[in-house]
Amino acid sequence: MTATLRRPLARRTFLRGAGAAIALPWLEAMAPRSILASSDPGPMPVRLGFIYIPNGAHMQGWTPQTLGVNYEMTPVLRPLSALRDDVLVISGLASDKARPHGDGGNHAPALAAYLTGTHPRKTEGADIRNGASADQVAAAAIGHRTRLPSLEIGCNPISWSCDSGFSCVYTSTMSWRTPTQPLPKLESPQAAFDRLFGGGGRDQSRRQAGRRSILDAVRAEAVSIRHALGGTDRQKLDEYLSSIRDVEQRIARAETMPPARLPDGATRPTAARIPASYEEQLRLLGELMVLAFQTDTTRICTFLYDHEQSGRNYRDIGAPGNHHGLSHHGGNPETMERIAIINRFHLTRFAAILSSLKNIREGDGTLLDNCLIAYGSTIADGNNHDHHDLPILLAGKGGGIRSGRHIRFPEETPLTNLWLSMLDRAGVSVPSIGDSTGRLRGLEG
Amino acid sequence: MSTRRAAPLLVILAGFGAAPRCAPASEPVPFERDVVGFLAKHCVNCHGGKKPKGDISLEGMKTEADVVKGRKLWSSILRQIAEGSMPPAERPRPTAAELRAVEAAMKDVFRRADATRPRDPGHVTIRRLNRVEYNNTIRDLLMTELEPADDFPSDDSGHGFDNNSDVLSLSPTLLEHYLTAAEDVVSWTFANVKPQPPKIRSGTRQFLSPQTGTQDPQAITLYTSEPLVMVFRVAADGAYAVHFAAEAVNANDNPVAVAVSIDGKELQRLEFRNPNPKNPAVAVLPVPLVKGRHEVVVAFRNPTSELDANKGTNPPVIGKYLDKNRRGVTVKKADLVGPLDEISEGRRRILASKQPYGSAEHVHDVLARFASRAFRRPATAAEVRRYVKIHNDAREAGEDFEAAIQLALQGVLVSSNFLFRVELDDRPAGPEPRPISEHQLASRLSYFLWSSMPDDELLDLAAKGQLTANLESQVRRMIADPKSEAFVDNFASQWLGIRAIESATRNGREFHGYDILLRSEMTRETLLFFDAILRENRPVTELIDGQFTFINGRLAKHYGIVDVTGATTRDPKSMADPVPPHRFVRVPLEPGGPRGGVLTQASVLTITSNSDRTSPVKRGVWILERILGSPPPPPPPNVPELEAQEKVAENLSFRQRMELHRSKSECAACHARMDSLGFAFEKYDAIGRYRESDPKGPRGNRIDVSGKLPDGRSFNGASDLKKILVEKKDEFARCLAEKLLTYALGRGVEEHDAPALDRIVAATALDDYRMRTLIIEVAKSDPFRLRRGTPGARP
Repeated sequence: MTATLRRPLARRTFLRGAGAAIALPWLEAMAPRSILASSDPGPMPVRLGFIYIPNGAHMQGWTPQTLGVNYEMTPVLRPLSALRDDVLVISGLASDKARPHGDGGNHAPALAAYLTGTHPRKTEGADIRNGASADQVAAAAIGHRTRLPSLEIGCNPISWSCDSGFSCVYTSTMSWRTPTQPLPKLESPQAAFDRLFGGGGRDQSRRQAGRRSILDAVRAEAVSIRHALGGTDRQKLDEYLSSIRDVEQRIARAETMPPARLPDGATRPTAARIPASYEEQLRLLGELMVLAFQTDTTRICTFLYDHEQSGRNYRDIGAPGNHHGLSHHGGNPETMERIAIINRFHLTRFAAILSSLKNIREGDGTLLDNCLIAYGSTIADGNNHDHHDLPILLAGKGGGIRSGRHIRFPEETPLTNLWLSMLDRAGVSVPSIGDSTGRLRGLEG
Repeated sequence: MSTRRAAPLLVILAGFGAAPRCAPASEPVPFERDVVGFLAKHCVNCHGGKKPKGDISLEGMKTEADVVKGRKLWSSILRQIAEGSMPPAERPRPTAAELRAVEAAMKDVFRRADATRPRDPGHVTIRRLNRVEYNNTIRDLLMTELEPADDFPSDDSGHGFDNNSDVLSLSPTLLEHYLTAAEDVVSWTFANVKPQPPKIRSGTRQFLSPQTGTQDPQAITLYTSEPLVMVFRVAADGAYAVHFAAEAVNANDNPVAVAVSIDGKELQRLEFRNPNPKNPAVAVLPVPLVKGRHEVVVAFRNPTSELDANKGTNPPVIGKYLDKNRRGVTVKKADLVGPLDEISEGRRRILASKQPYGSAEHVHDVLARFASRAFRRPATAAEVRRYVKIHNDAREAGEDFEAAIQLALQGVLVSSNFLFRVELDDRPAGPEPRPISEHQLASRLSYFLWSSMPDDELLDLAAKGQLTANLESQVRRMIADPKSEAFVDNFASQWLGIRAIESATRNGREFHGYDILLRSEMTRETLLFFDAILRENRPVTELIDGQFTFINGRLAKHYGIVDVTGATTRDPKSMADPVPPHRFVRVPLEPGGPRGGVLTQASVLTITSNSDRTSPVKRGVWILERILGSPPPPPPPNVPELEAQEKVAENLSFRQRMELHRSKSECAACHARMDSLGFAFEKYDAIGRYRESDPKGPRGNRIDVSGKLPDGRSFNGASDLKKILVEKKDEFARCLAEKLLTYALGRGVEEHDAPALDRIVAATALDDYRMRTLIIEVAKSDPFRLRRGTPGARP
């Protein structure tokens, strides 16, 4: 806090300078140690990642012509060349619930249905409704095993047009804790870091005790007014109450679990709250996804590369124009090539995550071997908003997946069947997710 | 008024969103003949049977009651029939007489329904504070300048505004942020230091950071020996300290030397060679001061050379480029902090009490007062007991009084009564309209106009039950208060959509110079203009054709304005001052000239363009949505972009290509409406500069800005069209009233709000459509002051 400014420069800097009695974690000071090296030698937990790219893909350049291990690398997937043995290219999946179904929506239902297999209710207001997303279904079952049940990160295009008649939340949110509770993503690498590792420090137990006492009191207060509220009011308050429960559980877990130990060299990102460069933001958030898995702080992460229907301009990488506008390319080869450039740019960031995971040893193999990270979109060709034959990749070998192949499923196989198959391998057994009809077969080869 | 309304022009321009519900009573038209007959003839073929098109079946619609029940659907049907989008082009067209009859009959049904139905103020869902409101509320509650919500996840927006209660959700992540923020702000409030705001700050010629080119007062880089001077005025004798932090630029092997002095006395000379994050040049320099004026000076002692230093500029420029090798020192902080031996004002206010310090009565008193301000209403005894218990438990666990009180205060800041604007109701399920409480009204007013909590005056009036009686004078007072800048920032920028300018990038050499600074100046012009209309209580139509604006040097150049009289050509005899380079000044604009009103401001012209060209479609849609309140339906899927057709149309002008594009039948109906409006502004390029010809058009192409409205009235260019728009006072005022009500209530405007909107517009019309009057009428309206319950709630 500087007196010369209207806004504070850095709260934490001031607090330290002022000698205020606040315990802030200074992570450089904590001893780095390999996380799982010393824990029990049983089977390594499977980490689940879900990444989304908006506005579809250049499908002719994405999908390999041939199936099997020896499929030819395609122009769009080229950034994954060095990692082809770790990636399964999956064709043929569809997301029926992403289709308009009479309400005219394409972009809002696309992101909304990605992990839920549910068509969102068309509304701009009170009664938003979707389904619980696969990551949150998993978090409900196994989230208690780690300090953080799940991590939601992503990038915000500052402004974008929301799908007409649909709440913007549908085009900005991947994770839905319940059909009515979207989980906002963290956009700031610093905030994401604090969420993952902010629970250290010497005054920690005192602070946690204080928080417990506060949460007790405010829960009682919320419960006391809940009865006087109806309909959507009560729903809003229930979001608050369930968040209290969640934070309490997290505090309880933090007290019983060993503190997070950061690996060598990992520090809190020092750049601006939101990096000015989109690429930098993707890079830093990607590193935090790796760090979250590496430290076993959580086993579930969703990462929204950009909002659905985003109009971000990729001029800097040679694809000028509004991304959403470009996706309606009308068959113009030049415009389609720009989509391919954007696809490759995102895949390069994805490849960086996979490489980092692969460079980390865990058990007898690498961390990537214990991951299952899905990457893709619920829109195939953006021009016509195709919601079938989707661009989907699955990275990692968690639970015995045989990667390094291109496989194709029968037309209209629900994407949610893939989520069920991933959850199975992470030890989460649920009968269905949204419109799923069963498990995918042949993932083991 | 009513005769003009019936003109087809209006049908096209305004649709029926703005149709008169207060039209003079006419004889009821036989419903069966004009409506049921029309449906049978033109609609139910498709919208009927087992599989009705679009899942909309009109077969069962037989009586007026059906229409009233499905009011929203019927408004949309009526608009589509009137626009000509239904029945679709391949079906036979209804005759003009049929159209007139069905339109009149249905409007009559609506009108009679409005006259007889009970008033319905609607229901506002409890609203979580959004990020702006949270920061402002914390500021007013604790007198802190911290803005903790900047770290929170972004808020979603609904119905065009980010204060929509329905989409403001709460997640565990956000709750953790609330806990952390509560800890931070309470600690800050109790911390024993108080930075002094400087009264004057001077010395650098421009406060420009060479890295970004943006105005960044947080870090000033000195390249010359010209010092940075700050003048402080301290209110009391005592111990103070200068907190100083700096970084070297291009120091290499020769450390930079900086002297920090106060009142001519050097406190310390620092030498350093950073940047080195582990070893920042930070100093805390204690100094005793007496009450009065003090001057802190930071001087760079060893610039590249004294010769350079004396004639150098700051930032250093060689021709057009920054001199990247110049030695410098970036001053990150140079604050006067203190008095160090005095308790902070926030802490003093919170702990002030007649009760003995630290006693049980003191605890109760402190927490009851704090919770009542935080909850924006008197806290109940049961509520206060909960926070007292937090304190007591902490004491038992060994904390001292102040630490325990801080914990209890943090609890208040995480409570649902603070984080949400809860409007508790003694009859939550009761459908009958009745006033919200006086305290709730105070909150609605303060978050509407200040984006913050009510001040003492509002709370006092509410406590005495006198706020409703003084509503008008309070709204006036609140608008006059500087805190209403929050209303301008948040309402105007979202209504006009100009926040989108942050991401409005441009491709191409012709947009050279269009940078982040120019974008922020464009926004500033529009907000200052709106602010003037509001504070001077001008007619809202001046937003469309106001003959003044606010510009600085860069915008003046952008607009081709040469001096503060708004002249566009330089008169050698003129004695007028040039527009200052950075500071914004108000300039008059000539009537009929190229500028005047938001429609011809660079901000609006830019956000309604694409990254490489103008978009008459976007400009037309913008006018329909934001000025006339009659948005067109979304485009059908699978329509190719304009570029895809470019090959067949190389020798056509932009406008001719657009016209070709929209000749497809499924596009024509709506595009006729949007494009003719947008083309009126074609003489403004994609960043709002005025031009006579399109450099991208065929050689010799002059821009055609003429247009014809469906009623046969023609116009030629922006000024002509603005004249037509200004005549539509009712439509515009109603559109603005709808946006204001949406923002004020945090919910979408519903059909049942129509009578209230009618009354707001009618009352505003009586006062020449003045802005402040419009806001006062919104504050006095039923939806703002009244409530009804929601079924299913239990008391």
